Formats: sequence, C-alpha cells, structure tokens
Amino acid sequence: MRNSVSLHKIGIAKFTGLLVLAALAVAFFVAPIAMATGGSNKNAVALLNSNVNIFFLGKVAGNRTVGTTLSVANTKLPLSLTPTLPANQVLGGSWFMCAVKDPATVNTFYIFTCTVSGVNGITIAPSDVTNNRVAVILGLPANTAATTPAAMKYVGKKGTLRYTLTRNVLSTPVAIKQALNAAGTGW
Amino acid sequence: MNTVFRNWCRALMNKRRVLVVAEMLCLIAVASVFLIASPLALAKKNAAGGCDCPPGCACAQAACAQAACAQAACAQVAAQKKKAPVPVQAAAAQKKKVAPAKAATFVSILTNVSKTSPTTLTAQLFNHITLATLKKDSWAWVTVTLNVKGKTETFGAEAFLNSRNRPVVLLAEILPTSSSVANADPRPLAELLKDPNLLALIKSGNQIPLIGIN
Repeated sequence: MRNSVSLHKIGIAKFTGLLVLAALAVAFFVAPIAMATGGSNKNAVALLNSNVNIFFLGKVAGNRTVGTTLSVANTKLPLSLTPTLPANQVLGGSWFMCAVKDPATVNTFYIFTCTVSGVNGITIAPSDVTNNRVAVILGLPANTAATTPAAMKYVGKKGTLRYTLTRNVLSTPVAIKQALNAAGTGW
Repeated sequence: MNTVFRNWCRALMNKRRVLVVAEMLCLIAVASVFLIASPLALAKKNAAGGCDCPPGCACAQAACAQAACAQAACAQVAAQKKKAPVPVQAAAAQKKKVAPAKAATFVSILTNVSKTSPTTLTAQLFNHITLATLKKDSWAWVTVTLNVKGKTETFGAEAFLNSRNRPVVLLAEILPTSSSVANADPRPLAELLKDPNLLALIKSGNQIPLIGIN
C-alpha cells in the first residue's frame, strides 16, 4: 500500500517552513542590525531646536603672551579670543565662543562655550565653511548664574553655527554684534 | 515528515518541478548570504561610518565623534594599504608611532568664562569633576595632561561620556603646562603650537579615555 499525503498537508508543511525561514531572517538580519544601529545612537549628540540660533563670537585658544605660566587648579586660565578667523582655520573639535539667541524673547542672548563640529561628523571639509555647514556642540555657558534653566538645557546639544563670511574670513554678523551690545552682554 | 519528503521528491520529478527548483535556489541564495556576509559585522561597519575601528578607537560613540573616529580608521586603513610590506621590526616601530594616547589625566574643568578685552578671556578653573557632572554637563571644556614622548603636556579638551558611559576627551587646544607638574614640558606656548607631535594628536580627532575623575 502506498502512503500518500494530501496537498493540504504539504501546504501546511511548506507554510511552516516559510515561517521558520522568516524567523531565521529576523534573528540573523533584523535583530543584529537593530542592535548595532541602536547601540551606536545611544549617546548620539542631541540636536538643538531649529528655532534656537547660534552665532559665532570667536575662536578660543591658549594665550601666547602668558608664556609658560598656567595657573594651577582652582584659579584662572588665561585664554585668547580671535573674533575674526580665516575659513581654513576652522577645525573640527576646536573651541569657539558662541552667542545663543533666546527664541522666547526679543533680545536675550546666552554666551556658551562650544565645540566646532561638522553637520554629520566632527571633521570639517573646507567647503563646509563656505556652504554654511558648520555645526557646534554647546558646552557650559560662560556665566552659569546668568543662564536660565531653559537655556541650561542647551548644554551638550548640537546646532548649526551662523556667521558672516567675508573674503573667506569668519566673523560675527553685524546685526548680532549690535544686538549683543544693546543687550549689554559685554561680548 | 517522511511522507512529506517523499512527496516533495516526487514533485521534483513531475510537472511542479519548476516550483521546487525555484524553492531550492531560493534556499541556497539565503544560505549563501548567511555564509558570505555576516550581517552583524556589516551592521557594525556601517555604524562606524563605513569602515572598521582600529584598536583603542571606540567607534560606537557620540555621532560626531564617531564619524571622526571612523575617518581616522579609514585613513589608517588606507595608509596601511598603500604601504609596501616592511620588515617586522620596522612595522612594529610604525605601529608604535601611530598608537593612540592611552589616557588623559583630568586637571580641571573650565566653568565661568569672562571677556577681559576684545581678544582675551579668563576661565575659572575647578579641579573636581564626577561622572554625574559629566553626564549632566556633557561636552564641557576641561584641561587634561597627557604624556607625549616622556614629557607631560597640557591640552584643552571636551569631555563627555561615550556609549559605554565611560569618560573620554577629544583634544582641542594646546596649552602651556604648569611648572609645578612633574616632568612638565618647559617650552613656551608659541613653540608648543608648532610641535608636529602635539598638532597631530589634536588633528587625529581620537577619543582618549579620561582618568583622574571621581
């Protein structure tokens, strides 16, 4: 006697096989990819709201005139500020001072320390500067006591830097300079 | 299951042959993909900006630093590919030359920054930082010391926690070292700023583990 199986049962077996294959696909492809991408974005730099504008104030570096003397901890560190900077000297990771305009008020600025970054990575290509594709990651405010709790939430966030580029030299936009003066920021 | 297999074999020999052969080809294709491309390795590679991370370079970190790390890794890989085979000793020496800094020692965190003239600033230094502070005040400016060719050098850097919640820094600026620091480099800042070794450390964009915090 010949054993035979109905087409219905074959269909069930094939469908089960398909389910197993689908489960394998999830286990081998989807899960690891999700793990890898999820893991890498765990501590990704958060983006600042697009309505919060950040303006260039100058590049910060060690103060050459001070020479070899560096104050010990708990005292003061002398630094230099370069308010106009050639475009080719904009390097990812370097220190800038930035003015952040409070979007909720007419003329309120918060001064922040910030780190130069590309829009996607930390490095900057020469074309990024001319194409206004320079971003900054905000560090601590210059004066924590004068910064509102709302503005303190900007710390550690990344936003696009705004500046004026004249003959390949970066500077603070004139209107912002005037507004900073009018607001009495001292910057 | 035996009969199912028998029917399946029988089907292979009859008019449903095309369907079965197609199914087999499909299975072989899936198996080949599993064998040839490891999806996990591929995913990790993509997450690292399209290339593998060098040892000591944690690529799965904050997005921007991650790209820098990936770029450094790409540059390293490209440089290695370009180089002709070298003797073992020379290769070891080269490896030693490009090895990333092991750790940066925390000195102080820059808190209040005030403008003292149109071109000068003063930053208040505070010599204590905790992991909790770093978590809250990510990307804060800090000063760190690093051993470079036997001398203690001071750098301005940004401190943050990487994806494993470990403190790391990204070197930003060369600073003079206090003479009170052991083995301090006595050269003036103007001279330090021309030192190719120190400049290379900054330009590499590598993340360096931060030690000396509580």
